[in-house]
Amino acid sequence: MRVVETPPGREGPGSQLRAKRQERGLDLAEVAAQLHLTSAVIQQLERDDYEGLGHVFAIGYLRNYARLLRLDPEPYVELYRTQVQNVPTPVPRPARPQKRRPPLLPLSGLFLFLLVGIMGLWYVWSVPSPSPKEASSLDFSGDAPPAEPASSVPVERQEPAHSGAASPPVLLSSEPALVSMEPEPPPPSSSVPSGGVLESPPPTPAEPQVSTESSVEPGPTPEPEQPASPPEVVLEFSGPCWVDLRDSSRKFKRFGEMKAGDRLVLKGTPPYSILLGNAAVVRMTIGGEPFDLSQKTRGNVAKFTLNPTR
Amino acid sequence: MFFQRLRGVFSNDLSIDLGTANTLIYARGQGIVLDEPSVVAIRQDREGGMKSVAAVGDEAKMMLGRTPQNITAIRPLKNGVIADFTVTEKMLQYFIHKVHESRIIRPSPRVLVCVPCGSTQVERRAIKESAAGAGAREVYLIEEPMAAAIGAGLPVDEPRGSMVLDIGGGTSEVAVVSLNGIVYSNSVRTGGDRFDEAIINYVRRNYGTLIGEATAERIKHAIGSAYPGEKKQEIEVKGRNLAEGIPRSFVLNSNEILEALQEPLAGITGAVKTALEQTPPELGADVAERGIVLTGGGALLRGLDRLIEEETGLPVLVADDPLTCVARGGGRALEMIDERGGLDLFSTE
Repeated sequence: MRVVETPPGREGPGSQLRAKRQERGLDLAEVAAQLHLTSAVIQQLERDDYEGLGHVFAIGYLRNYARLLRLDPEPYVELYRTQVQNVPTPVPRPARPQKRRPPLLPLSGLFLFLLVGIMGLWYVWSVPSPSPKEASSLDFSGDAPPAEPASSVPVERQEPAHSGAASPPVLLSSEPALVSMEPEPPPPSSSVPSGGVLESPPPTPAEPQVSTESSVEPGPTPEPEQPASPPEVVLEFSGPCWVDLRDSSRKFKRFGEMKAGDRLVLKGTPPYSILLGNAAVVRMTIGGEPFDLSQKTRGNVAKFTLNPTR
Repeated sequence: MFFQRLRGVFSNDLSIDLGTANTLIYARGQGIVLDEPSVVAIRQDREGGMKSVAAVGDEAKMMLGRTPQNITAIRPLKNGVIADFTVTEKMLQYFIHKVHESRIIRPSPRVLVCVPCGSTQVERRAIKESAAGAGAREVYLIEEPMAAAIGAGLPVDEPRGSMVLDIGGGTSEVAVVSLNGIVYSNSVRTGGDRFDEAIINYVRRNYGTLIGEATAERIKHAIGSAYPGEKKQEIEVKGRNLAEGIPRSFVLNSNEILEALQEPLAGITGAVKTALEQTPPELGADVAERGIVLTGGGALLRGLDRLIEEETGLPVLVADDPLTCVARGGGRALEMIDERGGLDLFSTE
């Protein structure tokens, strides 16, 4: 019989369980009867001797044994895997095979490169008077070829560029009314954090002087960025809880059951719609500050919309 | 024929667990590459007009029970076998393409499909032809409990009995396996879908409220249990009140769901007991010594292992990652074909 040598200081899962059993004052025969196994098998487990059991059964028995002692079985199973099975951690579902792409990648890359090249050439020819600024905007479009808005941006930007403003490439918002409000000092009124960086607004072609001013002074520009990063909302679970969390842009979604010890950080754009099946086991913090869930809870289920920026 | 072989060079061998609830695909050397619900949404714009596939998989499942008149979301498999041949073929075609995306050449893989052990010759032939129609070069069939046993890591090649209980969406299969073969197998048409149905019926009877399949499934995942737990869990659900005709919300707890699930659970424990009765004594002793292994999505139902343990008095274990056992086992079987022509594993058509 082969007894698994355990590294000094770290006992095998079986001997740890034996210690727990003795702590509870449970008899070996009692445990064997409750697990529907023979005392010999339990003794074998407690010796950390898994010879002849097979990994499936050894793991299953350890799991049932831990559960009988009202312990979380996972640490023991994990220990078995690392010590006996020599598997670091099971990877039950490998991610989608990204590595299979290569056969096509060079070809499609070349094609994309050609496309971008042709578009670039066409752009250079179609603009009547090339100036140094346009060269920079051309680089900009070359940086992100697949995104459609990128190619449309330089065309819209042409007029302010002609007016002589030496501004860095900016992302334009399509609503001029909203944008024209922004240069005023209290900007957070129009907090539309769309994920991207809202920089200095694009000027209307009618007043080129304003554009130079707004692009020169860098003072107010960092201000609108503040609401773009809402305070971090963290959910910590001390027990099983079924959750359904979504953000307003529908990019972030969490649906299913969380386990004890799980920690969840909400991503995406607020407001979030939150549903917690077992709110009693959830501890929620907004930017480090604890949030009282009890007001939102009805029958242990909390369902509400949360806007952490307020 | 030649072109199909040529296309085969560019395709991976796949093992498909064509289940009533979910379809999983295991690609050789890559693991599980696809796990989607077996649902297809069909669009038909005019009466008698062309039918086209609107969505497959996750997207189609979201449409289930929420479709307008020109779209029907259907589940082409019922009780583990094909209920709608053409739709199944389309679905398989879509899935096979999906795991081969980024290929110019149409894939033509070797495919191993798992079939319920209780399926008839006609049903097996339908699955085989549907996979062939979806572009497979060669189609092998393997019985689900065999694949589940291999996937769970049971010593199937030893002269030793191992009992496996695979609870899927449509069927539950119980089998005793020894020496690469099935000694006894039985399939009952009770699975995850029956659990959902039982919950729907319970809610209608006791709350006078109608809930949909998706809600029933959500309840099952959240608070469903097969054996009384230590804590009572609750969930708030909404449904249409039959008396008032207005959607109302109410709170269900885990004990009520336990009560609702009694009937389908009794079907499963009954099948296990029958299997133990029918197993030859030597193998029965092996099973009693080592225990029953649970696989399939149904094994994730809380307390199911406890229930079967109490009912049979044998040790019961849940396999690692039970949802993917069948697909992984099929993948392993595919590897065996090349290693030693392990054709004894496969069922003839």
